[in-house]
Amino acid sequence: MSRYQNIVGGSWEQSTLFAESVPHLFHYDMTYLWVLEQQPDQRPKSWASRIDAWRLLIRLFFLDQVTIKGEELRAPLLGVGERFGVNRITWLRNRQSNQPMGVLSPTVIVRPLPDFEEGDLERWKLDLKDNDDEFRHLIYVAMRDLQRAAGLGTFAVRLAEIMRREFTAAESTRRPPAGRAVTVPLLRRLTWERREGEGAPLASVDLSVRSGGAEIPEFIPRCRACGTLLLDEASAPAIVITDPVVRITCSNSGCSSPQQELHLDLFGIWLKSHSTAIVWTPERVPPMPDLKLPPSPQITGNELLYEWNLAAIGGEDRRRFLRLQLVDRHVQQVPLMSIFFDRLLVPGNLKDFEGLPLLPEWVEAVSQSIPPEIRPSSERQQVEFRNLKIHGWPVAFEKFYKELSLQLEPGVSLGLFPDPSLVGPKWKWFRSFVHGPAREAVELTSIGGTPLIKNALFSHEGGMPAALGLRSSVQRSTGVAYVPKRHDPDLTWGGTATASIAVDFGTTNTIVYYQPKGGRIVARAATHGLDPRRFAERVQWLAQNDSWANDEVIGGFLPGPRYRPNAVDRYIIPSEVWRIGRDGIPLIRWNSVPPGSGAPSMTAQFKWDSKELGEEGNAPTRRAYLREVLLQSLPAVLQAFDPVRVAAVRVGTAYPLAFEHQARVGFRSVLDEVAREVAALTGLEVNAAFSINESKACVNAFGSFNHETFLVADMGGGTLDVALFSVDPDETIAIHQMGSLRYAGEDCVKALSEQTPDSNDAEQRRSELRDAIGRGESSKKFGKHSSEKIVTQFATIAFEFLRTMVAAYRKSKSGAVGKGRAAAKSPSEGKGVPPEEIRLVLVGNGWHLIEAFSGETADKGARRVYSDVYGSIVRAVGDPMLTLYEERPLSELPSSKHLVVIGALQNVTDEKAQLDELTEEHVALAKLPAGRPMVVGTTSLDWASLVGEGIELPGRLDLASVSSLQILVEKKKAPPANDPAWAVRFANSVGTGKGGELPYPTDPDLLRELRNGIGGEPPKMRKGPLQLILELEWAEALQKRRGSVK
Amino acid sequence: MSKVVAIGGTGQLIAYHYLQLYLLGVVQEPFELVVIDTDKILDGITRIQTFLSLLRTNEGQNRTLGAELPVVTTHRISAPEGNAFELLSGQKNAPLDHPVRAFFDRETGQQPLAQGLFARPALSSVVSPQQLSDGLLMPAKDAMTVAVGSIIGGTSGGLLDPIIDRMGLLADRHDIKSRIRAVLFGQYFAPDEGRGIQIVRLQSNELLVMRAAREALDRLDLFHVVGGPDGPRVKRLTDKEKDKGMPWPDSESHPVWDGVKALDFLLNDTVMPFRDRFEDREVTSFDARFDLKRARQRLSFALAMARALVSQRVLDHMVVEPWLRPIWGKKLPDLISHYWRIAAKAGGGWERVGSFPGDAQGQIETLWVGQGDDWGIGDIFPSLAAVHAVKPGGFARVQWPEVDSSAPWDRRLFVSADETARRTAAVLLFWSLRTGV
Repeated sequence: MSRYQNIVGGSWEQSTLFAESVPHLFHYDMTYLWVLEQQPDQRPKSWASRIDAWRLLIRLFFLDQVTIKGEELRAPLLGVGERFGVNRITWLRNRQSNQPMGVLSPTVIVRPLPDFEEGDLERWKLDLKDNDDEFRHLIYVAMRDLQRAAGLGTFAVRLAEIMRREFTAAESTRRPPAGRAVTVPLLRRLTWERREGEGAPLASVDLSVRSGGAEIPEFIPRCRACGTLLLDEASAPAIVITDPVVRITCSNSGCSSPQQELHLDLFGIWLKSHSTAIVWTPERVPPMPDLKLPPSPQITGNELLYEWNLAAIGGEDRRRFLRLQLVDRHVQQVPLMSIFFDRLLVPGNLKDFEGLPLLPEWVEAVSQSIPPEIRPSSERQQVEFRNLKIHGWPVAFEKFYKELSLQLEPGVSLGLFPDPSLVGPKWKWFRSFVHGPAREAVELTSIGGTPLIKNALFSHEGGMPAALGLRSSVQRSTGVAYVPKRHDPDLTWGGTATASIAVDFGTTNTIVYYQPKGGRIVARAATHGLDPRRFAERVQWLAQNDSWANDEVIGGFLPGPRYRPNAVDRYIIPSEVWRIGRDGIPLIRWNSVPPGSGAPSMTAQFKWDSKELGEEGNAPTRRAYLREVLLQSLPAVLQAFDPVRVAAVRVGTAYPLAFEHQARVGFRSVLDEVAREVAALTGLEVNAAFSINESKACVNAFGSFNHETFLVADMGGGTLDVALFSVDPDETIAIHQMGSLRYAGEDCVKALSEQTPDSNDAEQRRSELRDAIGRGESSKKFGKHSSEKIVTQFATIAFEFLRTMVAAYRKSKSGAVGKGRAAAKSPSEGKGVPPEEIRLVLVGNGWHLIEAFSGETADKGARRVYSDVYGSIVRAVGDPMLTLYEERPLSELPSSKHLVVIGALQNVTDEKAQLDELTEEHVALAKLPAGRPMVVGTTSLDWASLVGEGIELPGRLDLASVSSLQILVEKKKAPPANDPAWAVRFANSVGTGKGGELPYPTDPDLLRELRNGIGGEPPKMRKGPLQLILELEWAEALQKRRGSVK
Repeated sequence: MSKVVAIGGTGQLIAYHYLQLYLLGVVQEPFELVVIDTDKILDGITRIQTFLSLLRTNEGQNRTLGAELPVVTTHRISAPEGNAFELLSGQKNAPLDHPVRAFFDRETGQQPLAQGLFARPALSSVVSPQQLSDGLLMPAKDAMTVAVGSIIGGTSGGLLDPIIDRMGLLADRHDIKSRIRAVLFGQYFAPDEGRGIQIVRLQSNELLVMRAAREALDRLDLFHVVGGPDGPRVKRLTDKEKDKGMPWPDSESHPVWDGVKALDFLLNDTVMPFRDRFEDREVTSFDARFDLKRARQRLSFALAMARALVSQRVLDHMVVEPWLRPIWGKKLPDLISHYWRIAAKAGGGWERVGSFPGDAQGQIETLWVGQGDDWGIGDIFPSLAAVHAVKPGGFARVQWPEVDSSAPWDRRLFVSADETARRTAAVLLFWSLRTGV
């Protein structure tokens, strides 16, 4: 035998045990427990009388024959007690003498005091008025309650086992004794110090003891008019119940009002639904002075037979029955107290508590017409529920949750988004969520709804949830329920207002604007932009402590007030999603912290499809993302119209000209589906038939000028959208060139991520870079020489195309593009007319990578770095009349990206010029310079010739003949540079040293792409050679080679 | 570095023996030792603690030339004034319905605490845990932490379980991977009831402290029990016997020696798996790394070498030796030269430290035999009547450490030539004891 067994194992019968041998404040409690866990014949003889005393005290306790009274510990004892989780004790005192007999024990329910003497036992026996039937029933209930508290630790189960062994538990066959709950401490774990992440060493469990010795008085139905018993014979037919009224005819023939109606509440019956009736039973109900109940009915199917004791009704032995039939209803007997949580979970601030102590599935049992009065008290650490009226229960009553029955979770908030009061009764889409540092301590439950993040986030698409519940993660019988409310009655809703919003859905970022009610038509961020930080203002907080105001993301799906606090552009919504759960439900990726406890994957750049994704491509993600963006944005728009009610929403979007026919059709389809879904989920009429290409959106946003020519280059994450146009004083806009290149910010991010390879994967690195850019922290984190170089090379490559556009335009105007500086001269220039100035407008966040990765940003400021760098590149191009335009409206916007969304919004709000370019009849088609000379069949095309979906190939060709023609491209014959230094600079940017050859795709590759791009009747060439060279080769060169820029 | 937390009188005794075995080179590995008691800390432990501090080459590190040193921390818990009732109720006599009476019976509540816990472990709950800092009880990182003490006494019976629980808590809180183990002493000596302690109380403590350990100590990895209800009883050492030259256990099966070997095993074993059931975590048998015979042999060699170092005035001879290296070897002269250089710098020049070898020789004698009531290092060990003779060549066989003259030395420790001579003497004694053959 091991020495341990030699010491602890075997019989303790002959041992002399001193409780103070246990090195713990609970030495008596533990010794009682361990002795009781021994087999009865192996218990120490020296403890026999103590064990007898314990058994007697248990009996006195459950039969309510001792006074139970708590006492708070005071210093200095409190200082010691708190270390062990005790701040109060509960005395058990003799009813007559008031002498203390014992205390509530965290291990064995009750125990005698340490100074117990054998003589005490004999005195206590005299005090006992035994009722074995009731006692056995109460032990039966206590064992059930202890088993239910198994989640609190092993002690509850061990104690239940002791009770089973020590007493004979049996459910009473008669009406159970009236009971009341006594909160008994329960040891969770024997320890000397509380561990982090664990609850307090002591928990508690509510045990039912007999209540006051008085049974619940019987309700006896009597005629209100004559007092006759409204009872019948056992064989009488059942009274059919279809509504909450029992209609009985008084048997007194002389009664003045024989048709009597009794409310079902008097019988403790609730017609819960058309198919269910609840018969409440009174176990463990707290004292209710006016409560009367009929005898416990015998239930057969949907028939209830009540039988009164003849002694209670004056000796009437025949007419002492009542038979009720609850037609078409399933009858369910439910103990009233079982619909309440044993312990109340209090999330957020106790003083603001407004929850209900009911299991969420029973919240509808509370009468909403007479809501209970909820009185939280921080001083007394308790919550009182007064005037609690439960459907079907005869009386309103009070329920108190005192300190030991509370689980305070100030670090937990519970919210519902959007606030139902802001969006009206037709709105169906909601998210319920738990938030806060102690989120793990609770589990969110919901009636209906789909869990998105386990125990923390639900989606509701069928309307406002009827109830939300929180349960303790460790103790299932601790919880709280909340009923979300709409402040205004449903009848006050309705209206006819139409709101307009626009979404610039970018590859990397998205911006949403709306047209405020009565706001000016010229949109600006401060008045028209939707700041994601303010979305959370539309949460209905059911419980909170305001700490969410310091959080970046709320509930794992909503941006918080501290979202990207240092961002230059406050209006950016990332075009990235987390994929949650097995179904990969997308949630916007507001920051790099994954929502929930799993490791969700993320998806970015889903604006575009790639071949490997198959026919469906990223369409489901685009649809889910845009739906999410609209559903999060719309509550703010609706609130902005308040008190006017919005009934319809017009949604404008912009798309890149790089979208080919199939992409346009696909995007149109996505927008239509999103509109349908959002309409169904919000009850709003949604019209998304407002679309405009991004280039034109920028042009429109520009406003009115006098004979001025602009080259707008909008570089986002996925495309560079360009438009070269002139504005006449009559607001006529002549678009000379327009198009879209698949060359943009993400190419640069990719190149940057390659220079910082480390353990995480490439996509993760790119996300970190995007996060840093969005948060305005990239220059601090990554601003170094090598990053600056990549970004400048990236911009220079883009400028090669812009330079070609300008040169082609000048050539088209003059027909005389030659070498050197003279090339910039228009025909009129030679005659003394000043050359036409072209104002270059750089739009989009792709250009802003310059200052985002510059080491000088911290010193010089972002705007200065931006102006310096692009000013120098423009000068390097060598066209003196090409100027960088940074005046209004650019100077009024947080970033130039806003031009697109402003143009898209204008397309919705300007009723004279509304377009839906995604439909073929409105579509604007691209036309951009070929950039390289080429021959199609016998027709030569100059490098400055325009090609694109908007330009027919010359020579009246048809598709059949063009496909068989020979096509030749002089790919190395670049448009002449105005300044030779530009050619060197550009060569360096694509990784070619001085005198080296620029990288080009192979002839077969280039020709294949050109031919693939020819279509339509008459035939058009979708992309010219230079665009293909840039997209196919130079964008890749950025990833591969690092030249220098001088 | 593994850690030993020795609690109470029995814990101290085992720790003292284990420190001796380290100084004798029976135990090779350094360890961290924390000694906790409400009683006085053994003089022998305090003497070894100061000796080890003399050996350090740098104030911030526990290293001497050629070896890492044990770290010894002692902590005496101050007993509260008055009795538990007074302490917890603030009143001289807590009335029957004061809440303190719900926890402690009258007899226990009225025990004066100034004289200890009177074999009542429950009284440890009134001792503030703040007396024991987290740093004191922080488990060893990536190593073993072993608590040693008796479960029958008031102090260690009252503190062992809470301390082990606390160490587990600290390991979790600071994410320290440490296996926490214990050597638990049950009944192993014949109690002297004349001292006011009943046998039944010790038996009760033994049972219930162990039962509490099973209830609470889920982080306890392995434990060994010494003694117990049926174990042999030995005579307890008197306070006088625990003084200078404390005798060693006289047999291999002596409970104290069993505890020392168990401590060594639990500190060094890395093979035994963690078991779910508490009772399965008891180590009932193990292969000890040493036995009493071998330890005594080492003791004999070590004492012979140390005494020879003193009596033969080795440094005096060495400094005038024409055949220095052939006779004394290379390392010992190098070692002396090394410290002589330090003495020259600390003392202000070579010309001021011409007598350094003689000074160091004088310090060896002082350190070994002590001064007045102060313990010498020789007092730590049991006195042996006869020891081997040691020839000069024997000193060459001592595994003196290699000298790295480029290594920095801490000016805060070597403040003067005299202090350098004292520290040199300590180093020579240390290596003589550990490796002298």
